[in-house]
Amino acid sequence: MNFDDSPPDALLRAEFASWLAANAPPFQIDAPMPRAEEVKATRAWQAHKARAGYAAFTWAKEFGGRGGTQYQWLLFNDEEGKYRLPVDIPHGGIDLVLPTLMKFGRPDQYRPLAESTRTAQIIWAISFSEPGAGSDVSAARLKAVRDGDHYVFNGQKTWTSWAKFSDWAITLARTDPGVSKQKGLSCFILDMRSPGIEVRPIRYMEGEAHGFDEVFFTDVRVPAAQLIGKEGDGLKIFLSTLSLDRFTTTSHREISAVNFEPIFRLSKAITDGQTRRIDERDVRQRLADYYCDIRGVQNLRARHMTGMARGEDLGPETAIGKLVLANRLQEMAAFTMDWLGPAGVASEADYAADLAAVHEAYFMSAGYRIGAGTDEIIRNSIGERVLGLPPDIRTDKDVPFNELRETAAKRQ
Amino acid sequence: MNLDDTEEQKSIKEQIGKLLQEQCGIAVVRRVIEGTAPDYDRQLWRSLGELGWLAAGTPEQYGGMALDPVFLCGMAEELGRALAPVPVASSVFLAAQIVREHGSESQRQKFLPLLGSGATIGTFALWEGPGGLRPHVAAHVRDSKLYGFKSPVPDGVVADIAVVAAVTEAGSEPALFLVELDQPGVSRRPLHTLDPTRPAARLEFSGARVEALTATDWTAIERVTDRAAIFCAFEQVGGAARALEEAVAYANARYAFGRPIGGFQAIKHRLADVCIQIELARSNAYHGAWALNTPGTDLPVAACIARISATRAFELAARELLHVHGGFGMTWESDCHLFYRRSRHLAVGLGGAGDWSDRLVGILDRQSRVQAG
Repeated sequence: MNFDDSPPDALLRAEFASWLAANAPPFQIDAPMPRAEEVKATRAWQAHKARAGYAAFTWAKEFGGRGGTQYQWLLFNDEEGKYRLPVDIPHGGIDLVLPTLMKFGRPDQYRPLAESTRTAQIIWAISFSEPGAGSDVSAARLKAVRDGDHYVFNGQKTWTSWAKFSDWAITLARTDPGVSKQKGLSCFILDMRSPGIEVRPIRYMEGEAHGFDEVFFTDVRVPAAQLIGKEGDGLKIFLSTLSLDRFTTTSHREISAVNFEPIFRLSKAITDGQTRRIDERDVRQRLADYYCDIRGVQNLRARHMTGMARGEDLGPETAIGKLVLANRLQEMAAFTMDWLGPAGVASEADYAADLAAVHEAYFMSAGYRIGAGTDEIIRNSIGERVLGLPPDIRTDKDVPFNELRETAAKRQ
Repeated sequence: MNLDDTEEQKSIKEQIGKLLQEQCGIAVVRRVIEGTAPDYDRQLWRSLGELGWLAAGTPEQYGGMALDPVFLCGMAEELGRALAPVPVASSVFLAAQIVREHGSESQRQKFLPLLGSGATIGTFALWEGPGGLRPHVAAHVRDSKLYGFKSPVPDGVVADIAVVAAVTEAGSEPALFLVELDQPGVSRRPLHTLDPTRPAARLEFSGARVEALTATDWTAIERVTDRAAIFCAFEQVGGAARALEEAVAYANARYAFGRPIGGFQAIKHRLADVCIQIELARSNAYHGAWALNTPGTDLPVAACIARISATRAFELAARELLHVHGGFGMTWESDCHLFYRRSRHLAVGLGGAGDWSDRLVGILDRQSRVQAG
């Protein structure tokens, strides 16, 4: 029982670390930066990685990949994460879209796009959610009507990643409203510069946009050759894409200790006359609980990586880290403002930077509880697929989409 | 990355799990709580001794198997799963560990084989009534004689020897002493306990003969309780995992409003939360096992996070097990209260979660000040 890499993995990690030490520093960025500049920096770093064979880690060699395992890719990711590199933007295309196309699509669909995706010359938007279709994505209403050798798209997507800077998108559209909502969806790829597409950035509650957009479709003509799989395969393909995203969500910053530090520092800096807040018992309890959860999630990730190294297939338990720490962060951000009293909601003092981090956490944690699977969806998955409890009762499985009550309600 | 049981550990866990399945069904636990078998199950204790389990971690020259501490962790998990009514925690994870680490050569030769066979039961006596992790210690030793009292002493009714914390001069930190309990100068009184499968006693000392051990300050005593806390975390994780299994089985079998109650999100999500807490607790426990086995690691922090997470997980699992059973869960007849009792017993046995949290944050605070220079 240990945290050591196996000898071959240790060799690999050392290889990655030394390559990164020699190559990564000039490509580091000072976050936050304007998106357009981040895209430029992304392309530079991605092209550089591509020349060394690290750009599309798990792809087959014939497409310029390394043919590496998911686990080896995580090792690289771990090492890459030690630098401030622009790695967020290409993730969707390389790790989600192209693997999906390689599984369900035809070579004439993915071959022309593979090379430029690998080097981030093409940036992909992941466009599944709609205003009325979030956790239940099978409720998607974006209409795709066949017209000769094209489909004509009308409707709206939302929470589309990187739409404003993307060249291509993968999306779900309803091709047959006369069958059940699960069976009438189809998967397409489309050129984001097609006429009739309008992109509006989503401004978050704290005032900034974070790379997610609304996308409006008005008579957008999509070649029928860009249908992935068959009509009606949409939901199956979507679920498969989603499963590829499983392990990545927990590696993001919400699991790291970075959110603990400003709260911990404030608890030491703020005094109530004589006593530091950290010396008060209720504050210590909450800090300890938070710290134990952070360490628990880090150690759980080590256990999951152990399973991956053995080639085990991981399930919804990989979302535990996000669920636990998003909730804990939201509570702790509010609790920290409590110690400060009225000053907790006003940034003025020598601890302004830490307080700003707490304010940001207060806003962003609310989103972490929703994005990449809401708390409730994750609990359902754990209950049903890990514990083996019965599934929820569905009333929308055998009813044609256009006869569903939810559809009728929308029409009025 | 290999944060999981090795094949060897798995096989040992299977062996002891099988033994416990055969000899420690829930009926055995109930015999103790019904009062038809006193204090602990003699048959199971004998078997554990005869098969060498009680000496699993003992060095070979003292009659043991010299297995790594991680094996004891696996054993603790299985004992926790079975709610085993035997004094392993007091005798093996505390007394024997202390004699091994802080005993003289002659003390080891004398006591380790006896503790390893189960012929002698040992225990650890720190508290004198309510208290935190560094409780007030009034018991004192003068001319190798012990005066004062200890309460509650786990398994104090049946123990043959005790490791007792006592001071030698006013104001000094306590040290640990070995006391044989069958001698004039020792009297004991059984206490009514929340979990009768884990009995406790009040011990009074009026000039009992003691032998000194090499643990002579709080740092040494905390090292003892840190190690025990990691073993205990495995016991808690084992109990929690079993409680969750029982809760899931019931939620799948019990129908209400026309369907199994586990299909309702109100139940499903609670049990998912139990599963999540157990996963975190198991992860921190594995980290603790690694720390036990790896010199130079931060054992105090490892022990704190293992203990706090495990306490929280078992507590939640036991509560939800009872709750999912509805009214039946409240009855003597159901087994839910066995978990409900044991989880609370283990939650405070080595000091309450609040005190461990307090200690954890104190350590982090000190470490951050050292780093800041």
